[in-house]
Amino acid sequence: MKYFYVKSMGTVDIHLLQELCEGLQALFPYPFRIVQNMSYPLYAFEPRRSQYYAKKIIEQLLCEIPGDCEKMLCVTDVDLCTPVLTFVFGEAQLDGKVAIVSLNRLRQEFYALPSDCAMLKDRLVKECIHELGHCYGLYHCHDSQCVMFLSNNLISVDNKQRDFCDQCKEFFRTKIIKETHGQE
Amino acid sequence: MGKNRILVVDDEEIMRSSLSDWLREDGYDVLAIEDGYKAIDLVKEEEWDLAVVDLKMPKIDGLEVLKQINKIKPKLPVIIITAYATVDTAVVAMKEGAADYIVKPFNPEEISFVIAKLVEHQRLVKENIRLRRALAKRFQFQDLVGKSAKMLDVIEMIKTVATTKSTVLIKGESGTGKELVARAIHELSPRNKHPFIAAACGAIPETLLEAELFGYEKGAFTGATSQHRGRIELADKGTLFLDEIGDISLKTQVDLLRFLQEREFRRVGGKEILTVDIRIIAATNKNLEDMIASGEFREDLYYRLNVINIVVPPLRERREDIPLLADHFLEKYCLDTGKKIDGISEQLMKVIMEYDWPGNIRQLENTIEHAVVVAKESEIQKEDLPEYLTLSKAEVDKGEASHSLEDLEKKHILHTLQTNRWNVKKSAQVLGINRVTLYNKIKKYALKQDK
Ligand SMILES: Nc1ncnc2c1ncn2[C@@H]1O[C@H](COP(=O)(O)OP(=O)(O)OP(=O)(O)O)[C@@H](O)[C@H]1O
Ligand SMILES: [Mg+2]
Ligand SMILES: [Zn+2]
Ligand SMILES: [Zn+2]
Repeated sequence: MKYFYVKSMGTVDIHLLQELCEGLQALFPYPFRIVQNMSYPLYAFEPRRSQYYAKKIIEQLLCEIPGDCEKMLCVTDVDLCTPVLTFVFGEAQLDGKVAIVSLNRLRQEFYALPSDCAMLKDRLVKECIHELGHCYGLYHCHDSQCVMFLSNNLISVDNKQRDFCDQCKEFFRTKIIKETHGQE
Repeated sequence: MGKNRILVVDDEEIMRSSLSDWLREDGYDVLAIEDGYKAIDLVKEEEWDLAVVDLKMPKIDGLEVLKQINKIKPKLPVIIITAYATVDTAVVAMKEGAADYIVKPFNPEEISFVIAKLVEHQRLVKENIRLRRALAKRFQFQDLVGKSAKMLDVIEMIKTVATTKSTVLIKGESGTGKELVARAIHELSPRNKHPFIAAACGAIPETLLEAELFGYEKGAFTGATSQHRGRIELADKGTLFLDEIGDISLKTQVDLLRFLQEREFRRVGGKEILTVDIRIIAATNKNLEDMIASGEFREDLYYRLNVINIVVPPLRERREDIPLLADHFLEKYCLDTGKKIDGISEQLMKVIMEYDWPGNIRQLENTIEHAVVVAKESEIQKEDLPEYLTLSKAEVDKGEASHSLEDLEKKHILHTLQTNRWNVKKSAQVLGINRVTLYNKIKKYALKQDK
């Protein structure tokens, strides 16, 4: 039996994690396990930028991955970046096990706007599906409604659906079928 | 549609992996390397849609890589990236032709936009090349390329005469495409299932021409060890193309005239009277009217041949066909040589548009072939042209007081002969004229080989 691990890192509301799992369940047919972890990933901190390198966190998570893990999704409140990008909403291993998404820039507050829980949850679900899509080998999609569309700002996150377009869905399905057969 | 290919050059491993991971998620095919020299080789050897090059690298710096890439593939966009931005380097990079200059770390929105824009632009450039080639095909009739009014007139004539059986006389300077016109007429005619037989009257020695045309019986002359069918017989039901008709002797003119009148002939040394059903097309680059006046060509034969008359205009009178023809030959010789060249530089185009092309299309074809063979970049450049084409008028004038076109021609021919050790066949090829023409020029200018 394989599980979908959803792991928090830093300060993340447990209810938000539960709602996230409900949102993901529709697309990913696995049982979910929530793991809470309050500590911050200091090993990934870049003092000059006051940000955390997403890749370093992914590498660390890979070392700790449980044997019964289908995919591991990490949700954090720290601001993520990469050596070449000023920030990222999230990052994933293409065709791999681990993905990470940051709440930081999905919050209205980041842009000095009044907070909005419903919006935050919606954005989080979309970005998590997006990064998990990469874990299943999906590339960015040109359809701006598709969840695999590359969003660099919230307007485009809010504009897309919580679902794959038909083409991406087909790719995703065949991939899951292939992987489950490969294991038998 | 295949993935777009991006070449990333950065000396820092972490930058390479981070940038290539991100680009891969965006669906690009990415190769990230640390060595700028290797990058230059890869640009030479492979097809890329975009290069992203770091400014500060230990072995060779990004600006130098940019310069080299621009020389090899002027159309390949290069983004210069750096962690140490200064206005100076940005200005230099843009001057050297960088498509953009971006500071690390990038704002994701900005870099996505820049890359998408450049890749889309590349796609359009490629699409353009494809369309231009498709367009050239549209302006191709049989093997004849051209869209000038004069060429379209010729094509109309071809279509009209193809359906008839009338004898056609094609006039035009050397290399204008007379043989292609003759072949097109044959291909469009009801005779196209039967042979098209060409007889290069100028190239066959006079003594052999009669036997070559009419055939001979065994024992007709020394060396005639068996019966031999001539070109006229071989062309039965098809088309006989008499090339360089102005070069045949008066004796053969009489024989031909008789054949044209009677449509009957005997093989050399034969008794049997043979008949054939052939269509005759003759071609000449000489002025037959002048030759009639001077008694070198029979007037009655001329009238027999000149039933329908097609004049193929020299290239300098239809310059608008030059780009189409140049593209056509570029593609042809890329296929021949296996080279990948997508275009013709503006400067080269300017030179060939302005040149007079005394050897017409054959000379243009040889010129493009030469350029393709020596080309080192993705476009053929002015530097790839034979020297005589790019010698500026001023440089030519400097040489001596003589300015006439004839003097230049004489010098150029002599020079070509010398560089090819007086090998006439080779020199004629290089000059883009046929051997007979070259012999005539050698005679005309009294050129001699020094010992
Ligand atoms: N309109 C054209 N489109 C494409 N190729 C052409 C065209 N005209 C001529 N060529 C090419 O140019 C070369 C010379 O053509 P061709 O042999 O028909 O000329 P010509 O008039 O018979 O010359 P010459 O009088 O020297 O025998 C050939 O390789 C031919 O394929
Ligand atoms: Mg010819
Ligand atoms: Zn993505
Ligand atoms: Zn999609």
